[in-house]
Amino acid sequence: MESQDPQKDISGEGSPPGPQPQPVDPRPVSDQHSGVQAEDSMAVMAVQAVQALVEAWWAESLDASHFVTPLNQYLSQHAFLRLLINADRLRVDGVDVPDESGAVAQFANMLQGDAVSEILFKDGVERSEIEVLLGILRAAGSHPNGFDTLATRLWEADLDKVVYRCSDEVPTSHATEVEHFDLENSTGDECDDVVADSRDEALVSAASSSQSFPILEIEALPIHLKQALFLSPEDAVSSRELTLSSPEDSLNQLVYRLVDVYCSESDRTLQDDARKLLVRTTEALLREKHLSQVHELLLWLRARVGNGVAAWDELVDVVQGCICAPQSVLLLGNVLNDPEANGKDVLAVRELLLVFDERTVDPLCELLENLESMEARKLVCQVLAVVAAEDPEGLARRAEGHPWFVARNLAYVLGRIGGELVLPFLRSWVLHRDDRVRVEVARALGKMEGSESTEILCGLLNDEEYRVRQSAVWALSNRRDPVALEHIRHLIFDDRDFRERRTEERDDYFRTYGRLVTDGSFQELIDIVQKRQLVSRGWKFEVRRGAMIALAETGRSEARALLQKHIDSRNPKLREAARNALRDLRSHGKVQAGVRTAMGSSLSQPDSGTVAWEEVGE
Amino acid sequence: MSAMQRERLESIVVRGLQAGIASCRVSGDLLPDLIAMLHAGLNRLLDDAGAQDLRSAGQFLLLNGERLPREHDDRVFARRLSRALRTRGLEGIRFEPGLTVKELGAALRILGRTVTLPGRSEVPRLLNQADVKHIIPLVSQENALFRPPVGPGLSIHRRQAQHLYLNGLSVVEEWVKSSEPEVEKGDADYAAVEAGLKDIVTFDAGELSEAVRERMRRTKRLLQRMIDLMEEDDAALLGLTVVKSLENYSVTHAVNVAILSIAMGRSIGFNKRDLLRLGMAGLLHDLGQLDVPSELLKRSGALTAEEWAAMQRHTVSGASRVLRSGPLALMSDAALVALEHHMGASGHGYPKASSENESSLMSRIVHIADTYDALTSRRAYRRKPIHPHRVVTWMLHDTEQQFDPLLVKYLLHTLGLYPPGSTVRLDSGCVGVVVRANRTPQLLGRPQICILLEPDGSAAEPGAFVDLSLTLLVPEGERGAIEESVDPGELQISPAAVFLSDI
Repeated sequence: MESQDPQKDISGEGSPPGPQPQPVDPRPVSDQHSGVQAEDSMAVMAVQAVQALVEAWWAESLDASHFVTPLNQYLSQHAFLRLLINADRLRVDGVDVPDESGAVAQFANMLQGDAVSEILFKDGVERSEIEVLLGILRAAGSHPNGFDTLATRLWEADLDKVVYRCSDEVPTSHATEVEHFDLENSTGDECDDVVADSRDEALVSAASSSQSFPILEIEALPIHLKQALFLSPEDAVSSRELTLSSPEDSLNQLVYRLVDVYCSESDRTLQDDARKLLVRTTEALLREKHLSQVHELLLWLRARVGNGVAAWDELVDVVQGCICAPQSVLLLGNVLNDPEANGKDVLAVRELLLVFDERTVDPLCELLENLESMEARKLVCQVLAVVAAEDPEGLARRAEGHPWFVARNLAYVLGRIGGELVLPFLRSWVLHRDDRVRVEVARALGKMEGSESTEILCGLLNDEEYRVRQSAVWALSNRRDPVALEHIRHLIFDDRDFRERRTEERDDYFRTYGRLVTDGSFQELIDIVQKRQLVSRGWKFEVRRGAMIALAETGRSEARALLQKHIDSRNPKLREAARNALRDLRSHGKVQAGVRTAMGSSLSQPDSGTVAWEEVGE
Repeated sequence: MSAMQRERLESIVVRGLQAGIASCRVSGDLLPDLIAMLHAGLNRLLDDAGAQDLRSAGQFLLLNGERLPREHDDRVFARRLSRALRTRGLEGIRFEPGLTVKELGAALRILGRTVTLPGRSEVPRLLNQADVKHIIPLVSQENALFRPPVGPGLSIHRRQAQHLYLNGLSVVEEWVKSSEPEVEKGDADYAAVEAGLKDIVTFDAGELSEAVRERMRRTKRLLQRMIDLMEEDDAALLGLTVVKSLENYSVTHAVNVAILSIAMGRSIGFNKRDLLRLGMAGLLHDLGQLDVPSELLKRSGALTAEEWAAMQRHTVSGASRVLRSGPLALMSDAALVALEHHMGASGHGYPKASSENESSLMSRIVHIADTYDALTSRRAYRRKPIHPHRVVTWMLHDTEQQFDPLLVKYLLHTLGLYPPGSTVRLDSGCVGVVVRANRTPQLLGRPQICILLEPDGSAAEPGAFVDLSLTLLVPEGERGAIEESVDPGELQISPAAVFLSDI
């Protein structure tokens, strides 16, 4: 609603200039002609209030006061405001609410869709209640848990002064017929003799004995017996406290009760059922990320191991088996892989992964070998990175005898583990026969710090395979290491073989060079572009073009000024190179503020281990 | 006087009269503030428009021929006041100018404590004795036998209760049909592991199948509406727990246990959300019976030890079925109750567990509700249901501590000593079915009864009804009381028909 003018609000039309006309009757034309005389001012206020409610629902920027103010104006003169929902219309105080924009129809449809047929606001309604109501209305349709409707949420909100009515009775076709249950013939008409059996022998024999319990005439009972019957503050039983557990507590109690039954029950089948249900429950706890509860259960069980009861030891194995099951591995890996995961969950996962010992590494590698989905293998790797952190050597050894992609995944895991311990194994895989493993080694090294990893990466810049060299140069672009800078400088300016590489690869080297640049090397780039630096004949143009690419990566203002000068170069190739570099420079500026910029088309992929997972099965 | 002022005064009068009568009935006396406010309100109406005629018309009130209440909030008060007048054999009351505070107080005390026996209303005589001149009782032409508060065609609550009960049966049937047995898992199947990857990565309860969501939504709404109805009139639903079915025992039993559990939870003071959890647990507590071979459930003779062991397994399998029905957070209570509902308060039931851990409160409540409904039902192995009164009495004398004694007190508080559905013979010789318990401790043995048979065994007039709690002030010789509980089968009476009569 753009205006607070009641005439506009009700008629749905703008107010004409000049003298204001009489208030427009908000009722439908048919009602007006039927001679029904509504109390116009009350109807106007009611309609305004409802329109404000619709607006507050529609525009989330509006707070509850948008509706509370007109509502209270109405309620100050009337005990309640009743809003009726009929198909796509709203009706209040006997008047249809005008719907110029269609918002009213949407509001009505939303309510109708969740079977709400009437909302009544009572005098004294609090702003806080309206806020709750708006929250519920705005969330309508989202069904976060899949089955809560507007009606169930309104019920749970239990608003004191907002009453609603629903038409969500079960359709007649669903209703069960009384006759179906043969109720008339099943309520005591045929009373045969009692047949007691073991099911409730004690109950039946005691409860059916007419001798045992004469009719109680309460009035005749002495006071102490009355107290025994009734709830009384003087009675010890009555004053006992009853504690209702929360749903979370119930979940805990269920798990511990299953353990209890497993350890106490003598019937083997029932005991086995309890064990199976404990497994299912633990799986469900993991699936629904009740990770702390699983961890606490495990600790609780472990604390009892070795107390002489074999059942405890068995149950520890049962729960550990659940945690180590393939499905659980993926679940735990998913938490580790989720950058938005709750810190408490991540901690619980790390605690749970302590369950995995050296013996579980082989099954995890086997899982890697058997899973085809790259996403699933990535999750397994997240788990392996935690489990094998103390023993990278063992992990590296397991690459033997497995397909190439297992070695590649393990290289990724070694990169995740990081540290000096893993370097010897990565160094040995620099010569791996499969170039896809070497690509992953380059990426893994890129995640590490230290001169040793830089040295290995520089070596990979001369690998025979283009993709390995490309990964290595990307990896080097992330570190400000003068050794790397010098090595790349040597390649791009002095190495004649470098000139034979494809243009895209050379461009990547120049970009990396630009990102690593120091003040001295920056000046050198400027000199090259301005032809003040001697460059080998036949390579001159390519070097100037590359220098422009590198300058764009520096993001410096001097580079911009220089590139600007060359956008009108007579050489069309240089002109294009200058324009491209300027474009890169501008986009570089836009994504500054601490975010590392993209390095151009081929380097725009973030660190990305994702490539490591895409080629399985090749 | 403006219309709005008049509405406010009428509201004060309706609320004040209802509260005054209720207060006198329960505590025997009135708050001075209440009577002063009521007197002031009435006198302003009397000054403004002369004598005021307040009459009961169904569940409404008429004041000088105009229907009350005008305000939504007053509906409950008006309904109760209307009922209070009718149960005292009155069609209405006329207030006349000159009314004093003393007269008003005396009248309310009489209305609060008075009695109505079939055939006459005591109110006119008592008002006359108390010298109340400005309040004239309008005696009902048919006050001898008035319709029960849950009588056919009168109570909207009763219709709602019947509808909800049938919906409840339908919902339970749906659970029964859709609940699937546990499937044994084989060795690790990598394809299956990967197939579940999407669920792992994007797990959300919202990913439940549409059928599960629909079933959950229906169940939740059913229970919510049951709880709402109980807030207004718990007798309407409690009365329906007398409905039993031999063929569909598990279905009616589930609904009955849910209703009884919710009613006990209300007595204890559970909030609405907790009542919903309890209702869900009550509804699903026996889902594991689906895993018990049907021939065992239908066996009329005694079970062997192996068969009994198979029967006991329904607790664990029930918890398993419940857990597979929805998200843990929602199903945990119901699963725990399914597992524990036969353990008993002392832990001597089944499945066996260490006695150091008491079963949960919900499990103990459902255990009592379950036992009560089972014993009052006809079963294949016990074709004669046990009288509800006898079951309650037996639970009170529970020497083996199978039941939590405090919760049994709450059961008594909820159902009374003669629970709804009990068939009883009065000292007058009439036979009837208890339709509503009285909550006042001293009146737990004096419920409201729908009279079905006259002393000579002939059928009573339809709608014949007596509220034994109103007979306390009657001279001893005329006081009605329950003489004994009787077997409805012997008298060809169907208690369920009393509650289902107008479907």
